Amino acid sequence: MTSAARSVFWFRTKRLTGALLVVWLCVNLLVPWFARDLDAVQAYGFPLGYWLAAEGSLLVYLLIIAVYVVAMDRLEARCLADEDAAAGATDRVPP
Amino acid sequence: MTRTGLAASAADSAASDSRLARRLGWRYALFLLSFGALIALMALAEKFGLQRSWIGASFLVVTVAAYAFIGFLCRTSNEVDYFVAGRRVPALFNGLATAADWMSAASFIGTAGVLYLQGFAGLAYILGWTGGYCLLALLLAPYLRRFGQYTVPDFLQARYGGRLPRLIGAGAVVAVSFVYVVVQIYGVGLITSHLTGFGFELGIFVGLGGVLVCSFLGGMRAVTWTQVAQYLVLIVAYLVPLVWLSVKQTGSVMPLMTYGTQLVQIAKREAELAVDPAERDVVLKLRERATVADHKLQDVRSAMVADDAQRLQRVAELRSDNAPLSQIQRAEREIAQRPRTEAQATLAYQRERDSATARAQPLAGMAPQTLPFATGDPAGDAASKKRFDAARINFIALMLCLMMGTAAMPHVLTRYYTTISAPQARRSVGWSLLFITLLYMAAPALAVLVKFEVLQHLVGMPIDHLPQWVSRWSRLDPNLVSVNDVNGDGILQLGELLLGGDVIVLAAPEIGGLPYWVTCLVAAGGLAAALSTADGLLLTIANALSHDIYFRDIHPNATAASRVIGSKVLVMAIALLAALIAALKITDILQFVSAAFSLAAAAFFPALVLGIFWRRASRWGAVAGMLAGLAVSAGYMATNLPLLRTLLGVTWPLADCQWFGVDAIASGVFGVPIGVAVMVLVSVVTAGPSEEQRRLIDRMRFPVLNEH
Repeated sequence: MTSAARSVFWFRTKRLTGALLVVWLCVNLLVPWFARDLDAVQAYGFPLGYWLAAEGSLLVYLLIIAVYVVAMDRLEARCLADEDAAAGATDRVPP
Repeated sequence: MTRTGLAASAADSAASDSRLARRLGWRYALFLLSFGALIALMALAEKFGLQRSWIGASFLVVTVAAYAFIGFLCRTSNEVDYFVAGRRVPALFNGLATAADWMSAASFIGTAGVLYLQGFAGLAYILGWTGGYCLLALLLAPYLRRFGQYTVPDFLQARYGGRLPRLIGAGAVVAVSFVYVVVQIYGVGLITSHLTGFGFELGIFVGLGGVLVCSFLGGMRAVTWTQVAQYLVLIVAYLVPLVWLSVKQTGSVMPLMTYGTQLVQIAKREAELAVDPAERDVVLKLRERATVADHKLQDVRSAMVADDAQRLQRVAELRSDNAPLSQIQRAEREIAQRPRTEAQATLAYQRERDSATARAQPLAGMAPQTLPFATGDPAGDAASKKRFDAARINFIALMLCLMMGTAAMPHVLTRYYTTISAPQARRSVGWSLLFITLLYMAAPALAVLVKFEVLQHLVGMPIDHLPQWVSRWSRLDPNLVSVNDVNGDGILQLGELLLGGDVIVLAAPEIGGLPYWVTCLVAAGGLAAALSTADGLLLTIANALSHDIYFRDIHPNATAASRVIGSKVLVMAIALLAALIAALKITDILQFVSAAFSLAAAAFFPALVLGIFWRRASRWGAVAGMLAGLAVSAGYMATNLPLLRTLLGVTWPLADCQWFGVDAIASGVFGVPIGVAVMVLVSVVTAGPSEEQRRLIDRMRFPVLNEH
């Protein structure tokens, strides 16, 4: 990878990681903090605060990792394809 | 090699990887089928009247033999196979193995128990032990996989250079993992003795045999493939009683979606019990007992004399009343077991006072199942508001601390070295979390269904007609289950029943009135959980000692073969040492588990994450950060844990030692930020990483062709 391509790649990786961590932290702080208030609402038979802590948050964690896996695969593939194309354009043979 | 050649070989290896995954899939499907056949056979055998001890022993012997067989098939002395399973473990299977590695005896036996006793507060463990996998996936696993090598201290050495970071890392790996492995072996002993009636010590050594066959013969390769089998056993063992209880209680086969109805029932029943006159009477009587025991403690000697006289008089009375023989025998046994010295008596009175005080609460001191932070009330008076806020802060602190500890547990981090590539490592974390989530979502549901059974059916029964499991478990250990007719009305009140957290899962089938083979199945699952974690931990400790310390500093020219043999010998030695310590049956062992999480978080989390994401992080920064984090965490525990306070003679008042009212159990929540701060400050003023270390950072961050 050229150094320009690297800095673009790393910037995007950090942005993705940061955004997902913000989601993660929001879930972790807001669900317990407002659990008592959320319990006033019923979610298919469960008090909402309890359900979010026992099941909802866990589903969000799974979703965060799923998004990360897909997004990172795409990001890496795109950066490598760009590099490949650049290498092809200058007709360099990879080692 | 030309580009087409590279692509062709990549396609080749991808095809062989998918063939491998398919073959593995078939094998484990076959394993699962045979396990199902074993269960069906045992269910039939019970119907036709096979003895209970035979059913228990069959489950134990057959499953442990299966693990040993897999371990034997995978025996190896090749270095890459031994340390990282050849780095060819497909993501899905690595996920299964990690899930078994991760879910310990404490998760399997303990989590539902904590939820049963503490209600909402117990969910901090569920969230902490799953949410940590997000940190692992986003911040650590794929980068460590690209780094390659074998252990976490390897990474510290390569990234920061010098010996010090690696040695501190290896020391922390050993300390953290050893505490944890002792707890696993304790769990193995508890389950084996419950399942077979062997003594606790014998049980430990039988279980240990199963552990050693895997890690000793085949290292990471054998451990990985047995762990996959162990996950299948433990998840079946957890879900069968859960679904069965759910069908019995609500007719639903999807308990995770429907146990809310039971939650509402429990809340209703809890409200009833809170105002029940008999329950209130029990609370008053228990308070009286606590006061009496307190008085006795003022003058132990004369209290002992008075108690002896009373016991003799009671036997005489029972005899003259022609009471049933069992009552007379019980009274005589009390005389035989009375405390004989003043020290013994003091201990007994103290225990009586403390247990009576703890139980002289509404709902026998258990928190309500759903209400969050029930110790306080945000709408109440100032003190109540303060308690509510303290409970809320402690919940979040414990949760975050467990998350960072989860992401930094060395035996889990090592697992992601075994995948095929970094993208596979990312997927693998996702699979791990999926399989772990399955059990952790089931734990609160199981706790709720068991509680419903206890509150609805057990409470209010005549004490003479209690189900058999009550007497069976109280014979095994009266600290786990005991019944005491405090108000003497012959009916069981909730306040009169002691049900320890450790029996909730193991006894769930009996509490719910399921057949005996389900009990044995659950015990086999608990054993699988304990064995799989013990295996992973033993290997991690042995590798830290042999690979990271001995063969680098003391004997650097050893051949690959002798490294493997060295590690094998250490596995054996550490397993024996851990078994000896577990046989002491140290109480309060769960405090040490939480301590292990705080220490792992403080030692590794800052140094690993900053090492990857911050180029400027330097060797001395890492050393100072790790030491500062460890010191703060350990210091906070030393000044806040009652056990350590008395041991070390800490005399400052407890209130002065607490920061923001956070309990010692979550000390990592201070250790990590302070570790980060120290690491950043020291890194900025010391020399940055060398050219070689910078190249390593690049190698971890950026993908290369054909990695996918």
